[in-house]
Amino acid sequence: MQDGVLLPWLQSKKVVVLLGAGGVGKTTCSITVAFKAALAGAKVGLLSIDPAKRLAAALGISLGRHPKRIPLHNSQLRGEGFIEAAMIDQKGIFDQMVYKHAPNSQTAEKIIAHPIYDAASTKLAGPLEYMALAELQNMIEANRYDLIVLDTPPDTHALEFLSRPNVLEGFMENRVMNWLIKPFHMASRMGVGRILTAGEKLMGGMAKVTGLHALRLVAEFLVLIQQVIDGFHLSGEKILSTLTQKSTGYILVTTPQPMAAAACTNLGKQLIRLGFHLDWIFFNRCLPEHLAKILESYEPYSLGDDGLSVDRLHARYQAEKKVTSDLLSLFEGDKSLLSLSIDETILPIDSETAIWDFANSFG
Amino acid sequence: MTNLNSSLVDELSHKKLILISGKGGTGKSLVAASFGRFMASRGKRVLVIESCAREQVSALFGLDPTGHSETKVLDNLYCINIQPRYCFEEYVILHLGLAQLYERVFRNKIVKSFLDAMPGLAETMLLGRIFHACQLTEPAYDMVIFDGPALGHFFSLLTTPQAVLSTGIGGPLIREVERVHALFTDSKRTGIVLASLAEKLVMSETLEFIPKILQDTKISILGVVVNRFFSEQDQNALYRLREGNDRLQPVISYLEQKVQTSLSIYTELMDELTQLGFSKKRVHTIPELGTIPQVISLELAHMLWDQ
Repeated sequence: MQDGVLLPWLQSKKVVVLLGAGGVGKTTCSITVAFKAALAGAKVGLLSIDPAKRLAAALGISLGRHPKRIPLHNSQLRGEGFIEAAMIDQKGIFDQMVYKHAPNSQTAEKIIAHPIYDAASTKLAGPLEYMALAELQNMIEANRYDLIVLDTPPDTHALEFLSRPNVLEGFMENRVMNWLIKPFHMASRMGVGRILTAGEKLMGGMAKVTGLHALRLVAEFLVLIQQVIDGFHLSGEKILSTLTQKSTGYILVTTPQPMAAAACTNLGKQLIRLGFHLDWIFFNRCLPEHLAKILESYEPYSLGDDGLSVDRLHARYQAEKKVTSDLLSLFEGDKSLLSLSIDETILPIDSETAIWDFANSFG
Repeated sequence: MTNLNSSLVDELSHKKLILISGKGGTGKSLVAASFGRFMASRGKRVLVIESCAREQVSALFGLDPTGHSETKVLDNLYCINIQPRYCFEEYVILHLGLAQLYERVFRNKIVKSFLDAMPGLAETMLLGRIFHACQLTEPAYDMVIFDGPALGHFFSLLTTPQAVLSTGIGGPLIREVERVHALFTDSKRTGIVLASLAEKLVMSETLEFIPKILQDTKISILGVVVNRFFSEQDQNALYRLREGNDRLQPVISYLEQKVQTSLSIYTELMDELTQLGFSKKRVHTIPELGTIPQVISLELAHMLWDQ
């Protein structure tokens, strides 16, 4: 594990992305990383996904895509350091994209008022990661920040977006749009009884499942949204370029437990396979150092029945050691991998003071 | 909430369909797999369902990833990783009798595009497949346990079909949505269990979801499982250890602190649940084990669920 290396590393980056499974403390780590950088004088933009509600309230991070200044109270705050934070709101961002890319405001209105817009926009917007990237691009272009910290949603849909940020999930095949849906839409608009396209059987088959009305609604919606989709494609190119630059760093957050470590392994391998560089692994919620030392020489079962919780803590310690070393071995082929372990906290991290304490406790 | 005196385990034992959710890292898969094992040992024919990219339930049962196929773990115990894409195929072929249509018409990529493009279709397929496992599979399962996604996604999943109906989807899908709804909202057969930890932030978010779920899904919530719990017994044992174990004092203090937190969160949980109209017996605690074996044994299942 490397001490004193994190801050200089943060100062050398323009963008830092945190990844990890649900429940490992990724969002808290993202906020803390932002605090560390701000303390040292950086102007920081923080893009967060669903921070614990109390933390959000305590820090004044409100739901909304416009970054808002977090009031920081730390006498050691250097220079012009500040943090502006936004929470990613999928629907809000998609509405913005529609207004931005629709050919005119009437079309934009039609899209947003469309019966399937609400349900479809979650699918059209694709994984939350995609929206996060779109907002990231906005923040970079605003040119206000020395460092932008991006907290991603938990891993389930992994990193597809990293490989194809210019593809809008939900329309994986744009061909579907062109040779299938559009003609279908045109035909039904013209009131033609039969669908006179090459995709007739397909659409007929689909209609048997969903009903014709729903299919027409979707077709209509897809046609309306075509230009918004094209706009997304353009943004995607820029985003990909940002993600692959050396000035963008990647941190994987995990706990030293088997399930989280499995998710971490999966994410790490994908990241590398996609050609990105894994810079850090944060082992969060570790058994405190001073206890580890004592447990190292503890003899299990030596305390009899009363020692059950101590025996279990010892078992936890052993398991954490193994998980940590296995994970590091897996990724240490790349000699430049950095790692640090963060002790679990006694008190919940739900206030600004708690974050400062947490920030001081590692790195 | 049919019987105020019954424990969570008792309530669960009589259910046909158990839906498990909770925040990330709270032990949903452990609860699903271990309870499934426990019930199977009681003679019930059990299916444990997950629906995800990276299988956890099959791993806990010591199996390689099973994919979209009901795989035998032991006598009476099966597991499956449901993929919406294959649900759609099954649906078209089995329910609509459109095997030929499927062969001729639907191909992989197209199906994926439609599942992505049609709002709610993938969710409806998943829930419909769960319904199928509960009501239509032969030989029948006595119990189906769904290791669901984390709270936010879980909530979306359960509310999607109703939203879908409002978008004008018709035909066979309406019937699908309706029968899923009937099963899920039948509190005699179906209930939700939330997994949590005895940690302030985790617990408060879990509790916030309870009224939301009750209101917007109308699905009954059976109770809460608190994982990694430290109990009063632990507290008493630690107290006795204080004598003559100087070197271990920091460890003992640390554990005592854990107990304090556990017990105080537990008390808060009880208060909240009582206010929401739940019996106190609807909280089941699972002790902090230090480490879980990679594969759930019968002994472990009994330890976690025997009362």
